Amino acid sequence: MNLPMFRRRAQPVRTVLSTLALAVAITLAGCTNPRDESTPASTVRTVLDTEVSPIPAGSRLTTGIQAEPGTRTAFGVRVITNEGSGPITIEDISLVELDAGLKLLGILVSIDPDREASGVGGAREFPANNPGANYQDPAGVVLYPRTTPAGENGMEISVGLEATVPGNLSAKGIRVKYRNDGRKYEVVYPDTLRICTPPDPCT
Amino acid sequence: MSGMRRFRRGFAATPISALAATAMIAATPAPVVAAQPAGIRIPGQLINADGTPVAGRVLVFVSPQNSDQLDETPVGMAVVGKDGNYSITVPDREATVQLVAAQNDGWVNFVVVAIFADGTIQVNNSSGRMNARSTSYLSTRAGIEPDRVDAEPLRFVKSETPNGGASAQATGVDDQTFDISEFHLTRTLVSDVDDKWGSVSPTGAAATSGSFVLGTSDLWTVIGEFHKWKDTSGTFTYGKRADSDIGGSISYDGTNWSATAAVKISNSASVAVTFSFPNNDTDTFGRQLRSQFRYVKEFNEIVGPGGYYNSWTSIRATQWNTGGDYNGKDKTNEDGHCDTRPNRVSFGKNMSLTRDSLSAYTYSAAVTAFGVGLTAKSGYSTYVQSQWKFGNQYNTYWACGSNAMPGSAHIVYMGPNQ
Repeated sequence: MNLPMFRRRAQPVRTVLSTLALAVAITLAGCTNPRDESTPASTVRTVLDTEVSPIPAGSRLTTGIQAEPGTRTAFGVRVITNEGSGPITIEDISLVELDAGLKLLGILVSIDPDREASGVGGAREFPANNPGANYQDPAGVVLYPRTTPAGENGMEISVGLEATVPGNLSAKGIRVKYRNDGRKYEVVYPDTLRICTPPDPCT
Repeated sequence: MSGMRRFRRGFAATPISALAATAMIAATPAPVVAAQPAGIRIPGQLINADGTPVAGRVLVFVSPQNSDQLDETPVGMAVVGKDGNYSITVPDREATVQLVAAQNDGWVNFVVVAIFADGTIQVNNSSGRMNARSTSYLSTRAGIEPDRVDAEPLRFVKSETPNGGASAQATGVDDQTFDISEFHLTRTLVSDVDDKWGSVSPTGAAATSGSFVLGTSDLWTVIGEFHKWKDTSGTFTYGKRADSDIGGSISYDGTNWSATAAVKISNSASVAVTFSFPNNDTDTFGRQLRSQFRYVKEFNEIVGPGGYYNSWTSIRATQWNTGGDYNGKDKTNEDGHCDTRPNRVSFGKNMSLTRDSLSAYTYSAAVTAFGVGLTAKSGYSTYVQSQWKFGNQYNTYWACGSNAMPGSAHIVYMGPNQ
């Protein structure tokens, strides 16, 4: 499976966040081409149009949870915000490189402004218990700009995973596809979601 | 000037000389435009104090690490037309550039000198990254990213008051007779106690008399900030190949100092510094972390055709010395409040979080060198890493971003636990 690429336009960056996004794009993506179909699926990249893509990629996060096989876990440290001026619509969220031995229980999102935690980084239950959060299927969810009350708490991406065998097992990224102003985008967060059988410290 | 390290090239043999040759035969005082070789692009504009564009010249010199005394010719130059705009490309294969890039993980720092029509100057730092894949000595690192980073555009504002000791000479943009090799920049280390500014003749006659003593200082400089709360262990790792942008400072009169753009100091050594924070149940930590960098104070003199002379003093970082110091500014008051702050995430028992920083943050007053405060910015690097391992004494361990969600915040604060 190849990752579709979007061209990063050579235009002035306008905000601090877009500057950060530019650095991320430079660091992680390099030059990209919308017709480049040669990128191997194993390469986790953040593909970002800094001028028009309103979601900054940010830092790479790795979450580790010690859990016995069969334990339902939730990973929700990745909370994304819309740094643009208009709403975006989520089309799909999926994982990159899921190890054999890990079962995907589901991917849910919460955009509720008043949820207790912006994200439940790790929990041994899925869905996670986050008061005020109404977890829902991501397809069709509208994420409003961070500058608005509806969007200031962002969107938590809560990934449910369960180890079916002992070991140190992981997924290597979260891919978010969305629409903004009639255009389609894709961001791949190079986050690692890891489940380890105790006593593995899982760091 | 015996013993000086020299960075001079044969004028006729290099790509940049072709660029200069193009400039010499140009019929109009427009910015130099030539077939651009692969290299680091250094763009910018010259303007008057009122913002209107102004003509002049721009010279680019390489800033080597580990300098003692330097005598350099430019690696790039532009004759700037009335629109004030210029764009200079320093070729990847320029020997001096390759030498410096090899010492700084591909990054090259430059001194950019804008010479206005009346001979006054404005000086600033600039940095870019050469194409690691285009040079043999970096070929073993093929695949590292990014391939090339052009310099940020600079804007030089002509001072109302002529600076330095600019001598009267014909350096107007209509004068096309100069040769790039006719410009020389000499840099000599000076110290606070033996600053010879007052003794230097405007003609530069005493400029390199050898009377200066070494002006270097190894100083602890902020490279990051780490926070942890109770029943949590952690590490903060700087390098390998981490990098910091450290601000510089410049004075045209030896007294008044102003900030310049940062220089890029990279750790290309095969070492890293890791700060460790064990879990002692009740210990908390919230401080800026520091590592040691070398700074130099230099007296700079530029000479050019027609007896042109000008000078300035500068302070810049030149290298990372490694080492770690936990005694940066205390920030513990930021911790223990995540349960009531925005951008918070929770973790359970026996979980861990690792954050490879891609979000740069500028620390003001990160270091004071030769009495001048400088900024430092670490980040934009997958090699600045923070890691936390939460214990098992609490049900909930809170973390929160300083200005955004933890995945994109400058700093991650911790606590309380519940």
